[in-house]
Amino acid sequence: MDDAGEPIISFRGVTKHFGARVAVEDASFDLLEGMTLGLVGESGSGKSTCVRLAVGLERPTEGPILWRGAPYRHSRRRLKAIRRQIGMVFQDPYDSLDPRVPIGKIVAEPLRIHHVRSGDVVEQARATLAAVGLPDAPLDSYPARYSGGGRQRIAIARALVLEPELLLCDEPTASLDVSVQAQIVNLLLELKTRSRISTVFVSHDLDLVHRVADHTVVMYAGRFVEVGPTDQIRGHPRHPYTLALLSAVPGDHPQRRKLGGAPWPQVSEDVDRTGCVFVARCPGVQDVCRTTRPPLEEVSAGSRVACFFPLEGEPPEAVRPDSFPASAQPE
Amino acid sequence: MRPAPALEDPRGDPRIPPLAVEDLQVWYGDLQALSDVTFEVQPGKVLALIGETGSGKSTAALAAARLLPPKSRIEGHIFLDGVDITTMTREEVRVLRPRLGFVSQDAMAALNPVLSVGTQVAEMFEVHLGSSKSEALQQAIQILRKVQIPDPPAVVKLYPHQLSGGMRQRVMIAIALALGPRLLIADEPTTGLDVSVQAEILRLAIALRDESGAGVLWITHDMGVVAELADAVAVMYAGRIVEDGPAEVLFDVPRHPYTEALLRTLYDLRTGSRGERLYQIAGQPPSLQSPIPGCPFHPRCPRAKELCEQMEPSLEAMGGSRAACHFPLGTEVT
Amino acid sequence: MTRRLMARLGQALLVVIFVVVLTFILQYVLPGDPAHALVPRASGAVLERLREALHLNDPLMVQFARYFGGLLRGNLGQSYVQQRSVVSLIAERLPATLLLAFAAVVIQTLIGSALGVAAAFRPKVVGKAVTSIDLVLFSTPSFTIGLLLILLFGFRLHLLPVAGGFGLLQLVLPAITVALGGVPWYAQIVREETIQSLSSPYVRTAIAKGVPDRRIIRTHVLRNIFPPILTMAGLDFAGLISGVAIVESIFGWPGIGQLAISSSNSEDRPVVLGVVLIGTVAIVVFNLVVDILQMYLDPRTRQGF
Repeated sequence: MDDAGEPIISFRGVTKHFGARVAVEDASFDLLEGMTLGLVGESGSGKSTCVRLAVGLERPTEGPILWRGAPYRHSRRRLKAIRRQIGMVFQDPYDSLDPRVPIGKIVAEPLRIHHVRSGDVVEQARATLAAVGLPDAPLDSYPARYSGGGRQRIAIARALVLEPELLLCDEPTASLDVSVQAQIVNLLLELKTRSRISTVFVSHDLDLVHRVADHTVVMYAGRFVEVGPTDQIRGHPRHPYTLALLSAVPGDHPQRRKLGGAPWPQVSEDVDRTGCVFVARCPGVQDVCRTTRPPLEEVSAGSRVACFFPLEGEPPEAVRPDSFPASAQPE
Repeated sequence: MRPAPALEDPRGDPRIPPLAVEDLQVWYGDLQALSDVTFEVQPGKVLALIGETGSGKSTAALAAARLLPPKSRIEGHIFLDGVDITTMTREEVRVLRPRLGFVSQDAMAALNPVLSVGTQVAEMFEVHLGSSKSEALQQAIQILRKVQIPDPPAVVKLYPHQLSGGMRQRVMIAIALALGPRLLIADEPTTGLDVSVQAEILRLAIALRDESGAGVLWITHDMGVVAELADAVAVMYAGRIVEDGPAEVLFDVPRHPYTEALLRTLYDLRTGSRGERLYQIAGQPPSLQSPIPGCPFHPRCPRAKELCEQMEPSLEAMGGSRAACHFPLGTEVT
Repeated sequence: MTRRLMARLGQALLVVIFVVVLTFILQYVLPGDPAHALVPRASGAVLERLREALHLNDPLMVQFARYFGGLLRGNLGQSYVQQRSVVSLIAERLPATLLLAFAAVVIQTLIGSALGVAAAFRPKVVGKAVTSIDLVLFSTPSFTIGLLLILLFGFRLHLLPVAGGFGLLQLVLPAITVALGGVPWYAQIVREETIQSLSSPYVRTAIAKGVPDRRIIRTHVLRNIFPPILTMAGLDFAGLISGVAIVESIFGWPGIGQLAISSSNSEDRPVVLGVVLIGTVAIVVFNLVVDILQMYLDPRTRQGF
């Protein structure tokens, strides 16, 4: 594992309710300096809420969030100071850039908001755009001129212009064509090696998360169900949901079809939170799972699972991330 | 109750493809969205149309289903069960609609928000079979059961916004299959859905295709979905088909550099290591507004030569598939 | 749900109070002496005694407090000019105004919607024609339309009465006059909503299902555009209660609008204030009713009930 440093953001048993609905329950982790954390989950998992909690757009119902050890105080001044250190990249590059503002202004906006000396502004904007692979982009051009990939680069530039400690990417490639997705992911990988920036990469795409993140959190119905080094989670998933998620990803060749298996049960949106939240779908469910909530516990070095009967041994072949057999490699 | 009008058995004459499209061209105003597109859907088989933004895949599906917006222009031929529907009036096409099931992306938008699910499904039976409201509701419940929706009598009373994304998409499929069509056109039905929900919809589609014997035209941007579902594949780029053929042939021996790039992207994603750069295709897909001369893929193609800028290649048979390329894979590039 | 309702009611009440205060102050501030208007030839001591009797010399606050106190007891005061309570005057004439407003709203909704739907379906020919009609109707003031109609149907063709008064025949021209003023709004909005509805994904689904056009319009389009049209009509009705004054005057229609104009001319302040109050209350109440109806009609917001 990379030598990560001090914790930047820490969640300590954070819970968030929206009225009667539980969006996040008892979330705890430490995001360390230099770490790239993947946050994986489907709709209703709570991953978006976690993001919003991290930037102070929501206040936790319970549990402190810490920035470098100090709990968030939800005053405007304190939040502004925290947000200065967080760069956010959103999913839709068509929505997140104001079409009426030239890109130079878009990228420089955080500098203005946080009152950085104006002499530097133009230069910094230009330099940051160069760093994201747009060195010749005219500062007075408008977002409409750029494709989805280009716009996302501009959004990343905007996120990085203040040289924040944390880069928060919420499904940054989900709206992009697959041939463009790689460009953005490679850019993020490059940025990661160049600086010590910590990153949170939220995605429903496990393969992408596997590439980018050294640690991963898997969420289901508001709870962390598996946390640990990405290689371990990908190679030896312990929680039945993680395995189910990996199994649901389509295969890569007509001769290696994966989806013929048993159907994934339809369940209602209201989850019984008394025991494990996964009981309605878990093939290995037992009585204790319904009555008692499984704690997130360490099962092997650095990996935690919330399950009374975590999976052991090798995962099924369809899910194993082996290299594609050489005989059938495309030329 | 009036007896159902005589619709052909879906396993009818296997010589007539449920859908055949010939030299199809589509314009939105002055912009050309499709050029010379030709393909066939065989009974009981899935043809996947794969492409990215601007590839024209959705346009092809909408054109085949005669659902293009009024401002568009079509040339070429569309044959539904051997019948040329290209120049038919809207009413003539309407009468044939029971033979063509259409499933679109984003079921939330595609369902009327102020009508109950039951009403919308039952409408199929009321309009085409002359069923009474109560009969149609019963028929609706039956078809909802077929698409594995739990507790259909309760679901028919609900409104679209009260269902999950996966359930809504199942309702759309139920509507599309309600009258046993010989052809199903699905326009990116799983885009935007969670991966586990997508898996469920794909499983459902496979089961229904096997059971009904209908031919399926499935539009997607995801090669993985193609791998799971397709018997035949057509790869689209900039409004053209650049390669087509049986799925296995395409995956094993891709001929067009774009196909190979898509496959490599997929494999790289599925099998690469943490921290490793992803296989990347340079540039971005072309837009309708700025068409590219010669081969539309040439600016991004690692094998491109001068010829590619000047002359657009046409689809030619090579081995078990067809590809539109001057220097296809498997030939030497000097 | 009820919390929101209570908040809205509170809001509505505040608006009414605000308007009452404002109108009262305006009456006080405007030039004119009711006493003088009442008895133009009076002067000096007589005028002073009259003013005392009408409490016109009391400070503003006192006059207002007296008025407001009466209001809470349902008493809108006495007319300065006629020896009757304001309430009875208004009650006598309100039904005529309500009838006129209702008839006008029904006519304008039907004509406007028909024009709008037709324009949406045939944008080239019908659409252009409707746009021109709309432009003409927009630009012509209601009294011009009214006078033209009287000239044509009353004096030239002798089809309809011109003398004024309350009755079904007498209702026709004023109702049409008011309605024609509103038709362009409905035509435009219905056209926009219909076009939007026709190009929406759910109509495309209906076409894909093979649903005939007639049924698409009936079941899918109309049901979706109905709520906004209903809202407009409801608010229009409330607004017309105050807004038909000019038309009432032209046609001699005995409604509260005509009452307000004549009272204003004779400085009969309590009556004017009374009419303003009724008009405001009507608008506020209808606003609330229409909002609630809207929420109920859309299944997405029906949950709260």
